[in-house]
Amino acid sequence: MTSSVPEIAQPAGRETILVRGVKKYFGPTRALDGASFSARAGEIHAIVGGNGCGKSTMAKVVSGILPVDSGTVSILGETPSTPAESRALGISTVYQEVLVADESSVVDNIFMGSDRLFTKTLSQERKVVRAAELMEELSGEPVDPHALVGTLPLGLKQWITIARALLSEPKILILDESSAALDFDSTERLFQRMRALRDRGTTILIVTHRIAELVRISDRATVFRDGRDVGVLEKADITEKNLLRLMTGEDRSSGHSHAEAPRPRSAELAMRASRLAVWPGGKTFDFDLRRGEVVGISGLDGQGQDAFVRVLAGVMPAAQGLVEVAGRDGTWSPVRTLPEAVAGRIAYVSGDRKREGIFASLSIFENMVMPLYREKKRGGILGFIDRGTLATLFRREAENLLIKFGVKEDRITSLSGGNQQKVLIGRGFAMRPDVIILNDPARGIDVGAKTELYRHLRTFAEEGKAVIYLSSEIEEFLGFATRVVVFRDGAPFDAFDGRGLEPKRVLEAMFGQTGGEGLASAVHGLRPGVEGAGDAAHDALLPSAGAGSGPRIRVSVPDRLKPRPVSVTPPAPVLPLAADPSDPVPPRSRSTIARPIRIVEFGENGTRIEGGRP
Amino acid sequence: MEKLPQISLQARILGLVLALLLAGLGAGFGFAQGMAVQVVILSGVATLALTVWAWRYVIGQFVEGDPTSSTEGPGALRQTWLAYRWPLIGLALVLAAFLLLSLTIEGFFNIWNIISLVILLAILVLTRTLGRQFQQNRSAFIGIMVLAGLFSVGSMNIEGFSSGNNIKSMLLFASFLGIASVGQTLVALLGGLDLSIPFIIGGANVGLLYLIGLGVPPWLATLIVLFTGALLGVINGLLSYRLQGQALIVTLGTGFAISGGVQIVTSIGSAYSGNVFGTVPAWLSNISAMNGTTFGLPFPPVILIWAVIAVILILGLRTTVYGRYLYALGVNRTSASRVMISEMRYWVIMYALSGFFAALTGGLLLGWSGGGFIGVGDQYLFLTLAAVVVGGTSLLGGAGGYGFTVIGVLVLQVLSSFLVGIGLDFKWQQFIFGLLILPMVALYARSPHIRTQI
Amino acid sequence: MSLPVTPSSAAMPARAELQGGRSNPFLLMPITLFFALLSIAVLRTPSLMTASGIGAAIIVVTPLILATYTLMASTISGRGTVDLSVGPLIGFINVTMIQLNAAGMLESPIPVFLYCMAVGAIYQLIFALIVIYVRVQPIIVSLSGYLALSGINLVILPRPGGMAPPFMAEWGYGTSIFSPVLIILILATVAWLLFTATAFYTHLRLMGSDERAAYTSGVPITVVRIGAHLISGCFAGLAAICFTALISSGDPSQGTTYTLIAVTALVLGGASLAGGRGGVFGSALGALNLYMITYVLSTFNFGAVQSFVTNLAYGAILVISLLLTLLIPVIQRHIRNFSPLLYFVSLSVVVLGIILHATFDYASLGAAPAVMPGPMDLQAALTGPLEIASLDPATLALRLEAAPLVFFALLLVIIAVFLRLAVSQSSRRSIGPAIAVVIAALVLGGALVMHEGLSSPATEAVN
Repeated sequence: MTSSVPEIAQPAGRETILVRGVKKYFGPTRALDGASFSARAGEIHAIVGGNGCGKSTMAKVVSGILPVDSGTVSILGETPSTPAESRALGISTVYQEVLVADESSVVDNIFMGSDRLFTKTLSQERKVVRAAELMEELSGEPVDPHALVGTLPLGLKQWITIARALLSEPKILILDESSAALDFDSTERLFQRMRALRDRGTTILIVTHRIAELVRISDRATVFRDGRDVGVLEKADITEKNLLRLMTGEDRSSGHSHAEAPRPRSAELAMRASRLAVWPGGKTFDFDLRRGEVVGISGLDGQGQDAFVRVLAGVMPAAQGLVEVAGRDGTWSPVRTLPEAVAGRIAYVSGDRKREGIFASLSIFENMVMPLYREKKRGGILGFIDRGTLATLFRREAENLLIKFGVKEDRITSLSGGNQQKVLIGRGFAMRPDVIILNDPARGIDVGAKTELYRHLRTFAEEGKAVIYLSSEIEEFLGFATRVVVFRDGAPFDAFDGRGLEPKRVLEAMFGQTGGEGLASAVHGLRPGVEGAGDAAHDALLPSAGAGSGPRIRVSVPDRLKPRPVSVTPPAPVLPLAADPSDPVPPRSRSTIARPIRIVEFGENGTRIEGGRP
Repeated sequence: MEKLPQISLQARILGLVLALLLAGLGAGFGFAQGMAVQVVILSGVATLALTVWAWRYVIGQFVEGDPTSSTEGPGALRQTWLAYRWPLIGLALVLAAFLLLSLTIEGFFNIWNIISLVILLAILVLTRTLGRQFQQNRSAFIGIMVLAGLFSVGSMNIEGFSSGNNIKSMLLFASFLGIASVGQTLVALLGGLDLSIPFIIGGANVGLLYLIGLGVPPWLATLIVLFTGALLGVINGLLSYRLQGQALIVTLGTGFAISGGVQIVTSIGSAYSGNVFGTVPAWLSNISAMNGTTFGLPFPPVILIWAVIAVILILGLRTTVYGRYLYALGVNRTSASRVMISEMRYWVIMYALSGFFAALTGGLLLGWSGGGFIGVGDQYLFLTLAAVVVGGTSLLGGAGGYGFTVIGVLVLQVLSSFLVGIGLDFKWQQFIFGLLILPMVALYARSPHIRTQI
Repeated sequence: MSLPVTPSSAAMPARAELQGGRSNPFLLMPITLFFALLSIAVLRTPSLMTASGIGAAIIVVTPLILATYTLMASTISGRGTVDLSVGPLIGFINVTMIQLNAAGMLESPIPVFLYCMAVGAIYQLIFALIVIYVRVQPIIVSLSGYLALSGINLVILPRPGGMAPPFMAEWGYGTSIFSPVLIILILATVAWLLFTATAFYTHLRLMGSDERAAYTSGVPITVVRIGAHLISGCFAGLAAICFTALISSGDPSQGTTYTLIAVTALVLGGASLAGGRGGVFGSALGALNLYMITYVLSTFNFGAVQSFVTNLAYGAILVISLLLTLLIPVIQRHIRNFSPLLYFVSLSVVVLGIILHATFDYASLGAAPAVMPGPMDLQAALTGPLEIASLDPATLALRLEAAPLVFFALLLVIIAVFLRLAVSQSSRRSIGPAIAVVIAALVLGGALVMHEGLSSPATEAVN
């Protein structure tokens, strides 16, 4: 349908998207709270921000999916209210989620929505040809256009959604975290495509929280925080420092940075993992957790840190290796399943409240003490809930965590996100654990609540318990974590001491710019597994690495063994989808890389990051 | 939960006077109709209490609404229209229908029908205005309102509607439906459906008589039948759990297989295919016959059985670990798995209970009818579902409860008695039930718009 | 279904490593079952493969197939739309048609057809509007419709009876293969196949498979959903006409059975109840399979419990076929390019052989006395040989009359299929064409042999 729209040569600089004072509420949640933003023709414009800052909502508003509650939206002079309208206007969107129809063929999926109601815009034969060309051009490998999409690996599905958006030269292209399932080469091809489109006058909107990626590609960036735009950066100003400053707000980290990170009193171990691999075919490593420690886990998205904490908590099985927890009498018991983890007094708190945390229509009280019902029941087999005892427990945790609520019988959804999270953390504490594992719990919590949480966790650690805390915001670890472990490619890449923690160094480690010296130090309780020590490990892993489909992790191998990139398959749903596309190669093997483009990009990437700092 | 609005003294007095007036009016009519004194007094007190209670809420609505409407000035009328246009349109439609009926049917326009109309309108207004006060139990509230309205309209219009005998018979049938709906409620709380209930009812009905006819002691036969029902439920549970989201089709399939299987078993060696003969033991007849007695009291024990089951279930769902975990699974299965609730175990247990109670219903119906009939449960195919839905248990799982289903069962039963009373038979009831399910589900189980799912 | 619609053109480089598989193993099960049942049926009894046998089969099975089409059209649209009200809807059209006919208002064919399809379409339109705008789960809407229509059907026609419009009177005899009912079936099937060539069908499948993807890509999902339901309604109208022709009267209480059978047929035909997958081929096979099951079971002569056995079989098969869908991903992993057509053809050749064997070898055996099993004779049912029936001269003659016809019809189908295959697979490197050529040679060879053999038994029989 877009083919019928005549191409208008757009002078560069003309504003194609104008959004003013837009508000959008979902129930009590303010997704957008008076946000404004504009983008010009012929630029790559990034929308950046932390979790829940409203950037995805803004993308949905621009692509016509969500109607706004108030404010004005003008896109190419119109206000599309459905995706069909916005498509007719020449707006193409690639969504965060990989939206494909599994039961249909590749051709049908690529040309989805391009036909009129009854007649096709292209004959089926020409569609097939075009689809095959486009897919090979984009993904770099031939794809059967008649293949059922359900049989394809995730990376190719993502390409299908991108191919759909690129099918007709769009006037506005919106990419909402669209490179999540793509590997490095693919991302590079996508970027080349984007630059070519920009030069022809397309407005490209990218929504991402991958700072390195957007520093490289974008011409302008609008930063969002708490549903508002907080600043626009021109090309020259787009540096990580500026972005982080705007994203977090300057007063953000001051609250707790002076505190002293807790030190473990003894070398007594609380947990240990040996020869662990979080992904099938991933690198193996050892990990020790001492009593009294707060270990921060970080990394770019999809580098295995998420899988790691899940494995430790028994929520997800390890691909290889064994996790053990020390009992109070000093015996070790394995942690392979959730019941074993709970028996070993490990509590897990997920930051993904909606999906694996709260019970939406149940009360605050129930949400907190649900796991204790079994333990505190009366009447034997009859299983009556001992509300009295539990109410005491509830009151104590609620007071400890300063949860603000009306009546404890209110539904949990009546609380703000931060308070909901506190209830879940309270659920973890209520189980009287020895080890508490928190998976990005600070998502959508205000600063005050965070400080409170840190204080609480520190006290907990000082009692001789241990804390594992995953977060993608480095500032969270300041003055809080005993040590910080940074993940890359499914294994620890570097580790830092909590005292005198420099966020800059951690960030560099996340991007693979450090040497991994922290790993060598035994103090950090991290030893690279025997197999993971060198290239020999990759050789050993190769047979299992080649098969299957799914998210791709690029394992670098000597060319003699494998001329083509290797795809490895972690189990699909729980895992993050991809290695970081900007730099998937461990530094060790950088010298062996044959492709010049990577080196160029590393250099470019690295210099930009470095150059951006004072 | 919902705060009582503060209302002025005058308003309270006015409300009290109004309530007294209404109660007096009701009592007057009652005596005029020649009803028993106890009934009149009882209904008078009920009217009084209900009116005072309702008055507080109605006034509360206006008290709360006042500041906004008074400041807006001329826009207020329009705002009211916008806010209340659907109930107003509904009112207009009901009035129009009434006028039409009055004009076309001779003798329709009498005092009873007018009072019925007023009650109907009052229910409409009340459910609309007060329903908003209830976040969690709105459907129960609406159900009770409808129940009260239907009952009063029925009592006024139909001879003998509120007689002891009719109430007893309504409760009797409600008991069967209620016991049959136990399983459906439990399974719906998980987010599943069980359409094999009617077939298990039929199978148990025939199977029990068959076993008794073979000479098996009745108590043993009953146990065997109940156990078999639970066993079939286990199969249903396993299959439905394995084939997530297709519980409806799975249970329909197993239901047909069960019904066919039972008939084959009972037909082997019998000259009369599908017809089973035997003598129903007296105690079983007593349990569910209209003239049965419970510890000497003149009502069939099945009502007591239902009441006991209802109390146990309502309390159990609220106060036991199992009940709460059932809700937790229905609300969010991932969260539930994180607190180590075994999903499969609950699916199997709930379907097993469903099979058990279906078999129990089948046995009780045997006592009621005295003869085995495979199709005895057929009407329960959708009635159990309707009871669950009308009561307000969400079919998506995690919301509702057996208390709601009890209300749903009573509403359906009173409605069906009412329809019978005004001369509409089973087919009309089915038609009306069918039309009733849709708005009831639409009230509280609408799917989100696709925009919000991306 | 998803047969390779277009020849993969030359622009597609023929590389060995293409990503993705086309395999569609969902038809594996219905095709296998169909031929298995057909073989058993043919071996068990001689009467199926006669002009009247096939004619009766068509008359009985057509309403079922069309009811399955009704379900299929709306099920493809996704959201778990399994229209449980299909049975009562067909009943509703049936009883209203009978009553209107009795009132003398609906007698000639064109108004009848228009009326039936319009009623079906209007009902489905309301259904679609409720699903779209009230946003209640479709299954609830269909339950509601089921109850309401079942009730109102009994109100309209309290007990079975009445007369079908006169022009339908002879449709239901089922004495010849080419009855108007068959023409309706063929037209409906062809109409659907033509529809699958339109963009609308592509929209429909995409929406059914992933509604959010379709919505965000600009597919007008509201219109598409309404369209799917309208098509479904038209099929319902046709099903009702064929149903009326079958029973020649009105029957308000067929609802439950028809719904269950149609849902079973749909599942058996490999359609996905979640949406996005389904077609006339699978649906027709599913319905045929159910008919064949009944038919085969009837040859075992269970006496009085016949209908119970049928119920048991329906229920069990529904559950089993649902369970088998769990195996599909496993099959998909191993067979990357499964061609249902090729499979169908290979099996049909085998079964053709069995049919010919049954037809002609029995004929030469003559009227061998065979024992019919008594009612519920378990011994006979379990151990009884497959080939038991005896022939009387009348059926013999009938069969000999029909056999060449069936034979040539099958031959024509097979040849057409081969041409299609040969064209579509020519540019692909697969063994498909080779198999096609070999099987074609076998068929032609078999045909020649049969032709030789045909003349002699035929003359013998006549003598």
